[in-house]
Amino acid sequence: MPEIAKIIQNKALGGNLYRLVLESQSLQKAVPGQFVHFLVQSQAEPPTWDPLLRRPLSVYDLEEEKASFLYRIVGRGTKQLANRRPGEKIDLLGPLGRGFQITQDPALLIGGGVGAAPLLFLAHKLKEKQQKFVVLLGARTAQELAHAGDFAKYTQDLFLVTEDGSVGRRGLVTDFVPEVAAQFKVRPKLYACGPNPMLASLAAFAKEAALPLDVSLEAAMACGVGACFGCACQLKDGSMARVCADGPVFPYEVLDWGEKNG
Amino acid sequence: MADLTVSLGRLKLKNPITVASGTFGFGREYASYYSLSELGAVITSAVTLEKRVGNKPPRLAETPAGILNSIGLENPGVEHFLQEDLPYLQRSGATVIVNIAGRTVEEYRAVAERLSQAEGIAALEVNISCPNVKEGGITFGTEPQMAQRVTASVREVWPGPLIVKLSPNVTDIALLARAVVEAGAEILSLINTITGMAIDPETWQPKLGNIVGGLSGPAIKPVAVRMVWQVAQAVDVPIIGMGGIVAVEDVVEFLLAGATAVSVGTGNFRQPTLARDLVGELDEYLTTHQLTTVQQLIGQVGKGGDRWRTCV
Repeated sequence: MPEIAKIIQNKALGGNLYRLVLESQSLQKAVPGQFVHFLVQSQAEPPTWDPLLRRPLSVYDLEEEKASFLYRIVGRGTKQLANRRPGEKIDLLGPLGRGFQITQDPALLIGGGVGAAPLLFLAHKLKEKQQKFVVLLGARTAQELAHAGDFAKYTQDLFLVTEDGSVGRRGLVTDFVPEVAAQFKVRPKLYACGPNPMLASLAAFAKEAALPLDVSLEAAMACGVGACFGCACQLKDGSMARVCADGPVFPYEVLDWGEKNG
Repeated sequence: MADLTVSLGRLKLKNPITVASGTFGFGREYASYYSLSELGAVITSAVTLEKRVGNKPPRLAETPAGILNSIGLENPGVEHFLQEDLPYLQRSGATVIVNIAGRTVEEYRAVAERLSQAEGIAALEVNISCPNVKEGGITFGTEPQMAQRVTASVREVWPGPLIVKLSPNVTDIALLARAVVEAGAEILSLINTITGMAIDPETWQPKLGNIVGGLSGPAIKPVAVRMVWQVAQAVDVPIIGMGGIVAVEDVVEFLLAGATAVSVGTGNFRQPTLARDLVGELDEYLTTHQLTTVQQLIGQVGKGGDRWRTCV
């Protein structure tokens, strides 16, 4: 059922990134990699039908009754979401979708830009399970890595990469994956979320290095529950999967990494 | 409580709220939000003779108060539907209307024939108006003779209530309405989506993988209401009206224009409980307006008596 949840925080972190924190009952059962479908409009105003659709956001973290979300303003939906204030109510549907398949293997978490969102919750869970993990986060600039501090809460094994070198190493996050992966004594499982070209590059690496890799895909969604087939992505076997209901997390090897998902 | 039952010829519904084909899958995804038996009917996603994988992504683009889609009738095929989906819908207590599509007249006929052997289908809705499948809809829905051929062919093999879903992508929808009624359509549903296109100003690429798609949502409601009204003037068969319904006022508007029932489509995506909620809200509307039946609204545009006084 949709829940009308209370906003506790909706804070600009810099670099167009925001952290939204809610008090929610229904999200307490969320697992890392699942997402929540939000109506961005104010619940206090008369209804408007524009933007029409909900906006899907991965669960960023979950601590008792507090669920948090990391998002970046990319269009009119997220712009409206950024206008919501603490104390206001927000209409949400979730948790939705399938999360990461957490194995016993040591883990390498790789986040590109705001794609880091589902990885914080994963880091939280891995820490609870006392599993070894390393986090590798990349973005264009230091400003766009405003969320990096949140990860420091769960690990000291945090590597940062920026395209302009303003913080951490200079380059693309994918440039450093082979090097970091090689430092594990036991072969790691990779968990990644970020832009499609980054994921495609990681898929190629995972295949070459024979490492397991779960990717969390981003897609425009309508229903969010698997009914409309709008967020379809192409599978290697020629069939389609629904990012919302069959994903958003997929083992990389089932996906078609050709142009069709681009 | 007002009397919400409606009769579309021999198709009787417990209330006029149905869900539109292609927006509700085969019911499973929404059954966790409410009992499907609460709806007037569930109109399934299109069923074709063979499985279809649909169009290449991206398939969605949000537009002002609407969405463009180019799903392309992705469905598991009629045999899978009969084995897995129809039994599920029957167990759910839903009144089931099956939407069918095909690439040729023969395919439409074959699907209808196969479905005629099954129990528990309240009606067929013939989709001659999908804008996203080149061979499989739009040409049948925009040429009166083709529309008649498909309708007549399905009519021969399907003995139950027959609905034909009309395309808005025509110059004169009344002409198409008359043509399919002549060929055996007992009920008309309209409108399907309006063909549209959106372009990304940064990448200069079309936003849909299929380049063009079908527009739905509140953005198209005035077009839909106008077409329902025109068709209601042109033919004597009952109409299922749809296009942008998101609130009870929209339902009332379609009924006043001449629809006997309505379908909620894109609105389901925004609020999964919308269709169920509208059943109760319609009842409330009737009660607060001192009406006892849905019938009192159907086709009553301009016949509100002194209701205009409440607005001056």
